[in-house]
Amino acid sequence: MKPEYTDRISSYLDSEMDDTQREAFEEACRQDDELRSALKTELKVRMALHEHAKRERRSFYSKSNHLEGQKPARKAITWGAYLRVAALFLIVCVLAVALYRYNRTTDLEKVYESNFELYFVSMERNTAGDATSVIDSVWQIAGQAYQQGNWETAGPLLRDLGGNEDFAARDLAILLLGNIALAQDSTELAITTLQQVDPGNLALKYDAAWYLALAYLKSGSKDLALEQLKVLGSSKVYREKASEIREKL
Amino acid sequence: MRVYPDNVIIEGLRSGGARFEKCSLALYRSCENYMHEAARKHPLLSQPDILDAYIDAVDAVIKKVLSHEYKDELAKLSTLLYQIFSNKCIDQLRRITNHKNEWRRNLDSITEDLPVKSQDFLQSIMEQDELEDVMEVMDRLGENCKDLILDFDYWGYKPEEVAKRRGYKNGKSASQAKYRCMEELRKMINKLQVNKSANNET
Repeated sequence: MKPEYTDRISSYLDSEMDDTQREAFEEACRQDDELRSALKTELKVRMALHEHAKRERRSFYSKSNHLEGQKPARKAITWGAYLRVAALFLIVCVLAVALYRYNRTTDLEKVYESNFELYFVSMERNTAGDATSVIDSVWQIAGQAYQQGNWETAGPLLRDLGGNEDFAARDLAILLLGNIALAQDSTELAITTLQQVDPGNLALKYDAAWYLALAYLKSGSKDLALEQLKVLGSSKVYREKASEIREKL
Repeated sequence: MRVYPDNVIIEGLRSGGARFEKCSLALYRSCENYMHEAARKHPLLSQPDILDAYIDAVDAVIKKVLSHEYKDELAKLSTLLYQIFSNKCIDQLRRITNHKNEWRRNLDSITEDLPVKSQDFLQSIMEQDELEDVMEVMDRLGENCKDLILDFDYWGYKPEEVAKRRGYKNGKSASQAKYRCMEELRKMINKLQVNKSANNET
């Protein structure tokens, strides 16, 4: 290609000519085959470069192309929105469950606190000197210490009495030990202690069930507490309280 | 996806090299949702059409940044990209509704800045050809040559900038190398043209 052609063609294609120059150039192209052929070559060169650049850029950007090969962006966006809503819903559910569980635990504790009173043991004879035997004396001392809230004295004595087969009120001693454990917030110990009360003891089985139910409430074991409260349905003393708690739960 | 602020993208594009690539990708990714919107808005456009329009728009924004034509106080990069992309989509629609083939679309793209009369003249002298034939010639050109020409003619870098990017001694030697590459490409395309004419005659 003649060098003078190159400059003229570039000026024409780069839109650097005014109207007159442009028209003159076009007329020249119509007359001059060589110039026309050079113009066609230059156009093809530019087309090739343009296409090459386009392909290069497409391959470069395809590293992150999210559109190609996907059905509708719309769907993608909609799914994104659905996922966000689902995630939000899930979070709300988790929070609700956590809140519910927290409240339930708190409620059980509240029920326990509003119902727990130390088992009252009546000591007919007021001094150890009135006792008829050594065991009876020990029981008098333990009972009085229990009534006074002196757990350090009452605890070991009641443990001895609870393990003594000669002592007639063994279950009572165990019941008091369970109460002491509850008063000291040793819930697990209270449960294991109260479970030792003989269920065949007609005088104490409802008392034991009542305190066991309270111990379960304190530990958050709702089902076990309900089981014990159900037993209390036949107790004249505890029936009313038990059904009230069962309704609450 | 990490979102880069405009000033970081602009600085990265202007610094060239790996940062240029990273930031052009960041710009591309930052507004990909425009393609989804266009797919809904223009059901006549196929995905490749939209993709082409988007790539052209991203590259147009990059060119404006590189040439310092972009003024950040006037509009955000995303706003500029949106405007250009919308126009490119309309162009694509025109091409589709006028049933233009790939060859014509390409020809239109490179002559779009000319007056309509000149566009008509060029279309009248250009015989319909296969784009792939021309691209085969392009493929035979060396990679260095292609990169060099793109730096000058596609991205519009100045000779000194190209020399720095491509490791030439100075701007002048980069320009000379580009000139040689262009001559080589012209020769190859000219040869193709001559061969085609000869085949048509026989």
